[in-house]
Amino acid sequence: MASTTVRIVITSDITADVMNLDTTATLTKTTTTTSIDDTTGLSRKKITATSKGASGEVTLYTADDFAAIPYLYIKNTDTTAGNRIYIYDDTTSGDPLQFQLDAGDWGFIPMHGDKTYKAYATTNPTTIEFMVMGQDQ
Amino acid sequence: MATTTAKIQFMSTDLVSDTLDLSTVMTLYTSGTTTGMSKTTGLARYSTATTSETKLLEAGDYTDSKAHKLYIKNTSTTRSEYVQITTGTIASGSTTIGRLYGGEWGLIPWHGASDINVIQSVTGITIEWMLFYE
Repeated sequence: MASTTVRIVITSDITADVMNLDTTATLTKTTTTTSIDDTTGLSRKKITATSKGASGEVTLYTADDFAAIPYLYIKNTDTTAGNRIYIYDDTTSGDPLQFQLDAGDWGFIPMHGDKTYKAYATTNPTTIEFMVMGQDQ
Repeated sequence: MATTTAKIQFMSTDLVSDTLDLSTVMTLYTSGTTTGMSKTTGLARYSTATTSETKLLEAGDYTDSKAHKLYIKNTSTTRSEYVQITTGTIASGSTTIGRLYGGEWGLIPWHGASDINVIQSVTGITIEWMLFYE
């Protein structure tokens, strides 16, 4: 049985006393204690689209490709402040914006799995790294 | 200037044929700058006595198109108990972002333009959350 964990450590001196938060979750098939089996692997792609729907978008996840709940890791690898990546929901009417990643930002989202996510950027090209983990179907 | 970092680390002994150990660290900056994020809600604990959708973050309280980061965790130790995260206005229809089952957490880059809401599968689940914002 695969054993996959994801840990986050947040350290901050925003508050008067330094804050440290450290927690780990085991990634399992939904409602079970059986670990996940499948992953897309870490992908690295150049986004060349600079507007929603334009040629050169990168599809991060296609709706229902994995059984619920797939886990999505996303990172904007750009190092120039202001070079943003926008990720929108291409399944819901109106294609609402879901996430915005500034240069160097990452996110970890346990998805519902029923929405297609696509990415465009402010600058052509901008490289995104992403990985989906879960149970393929 | 405040300095806030967030590190994520994936580890797996057998998801792929070789051991996986992937980690990265980001510094939380305000949008489009290298100025450290200087505001936080602090780590909050939230629970409601309803399984209906309730608002966690009011978009109107925060500036749009910023680099806010939401840390959110379902503290339940029962694996099947979930917290569904949605975005948008409850009354006019929201869309689901994802679900956190017992013990899971997420770090969501939030642009601040739409409310963040939660739906608990059962009452009494404690959600821990913290927003870093500008």
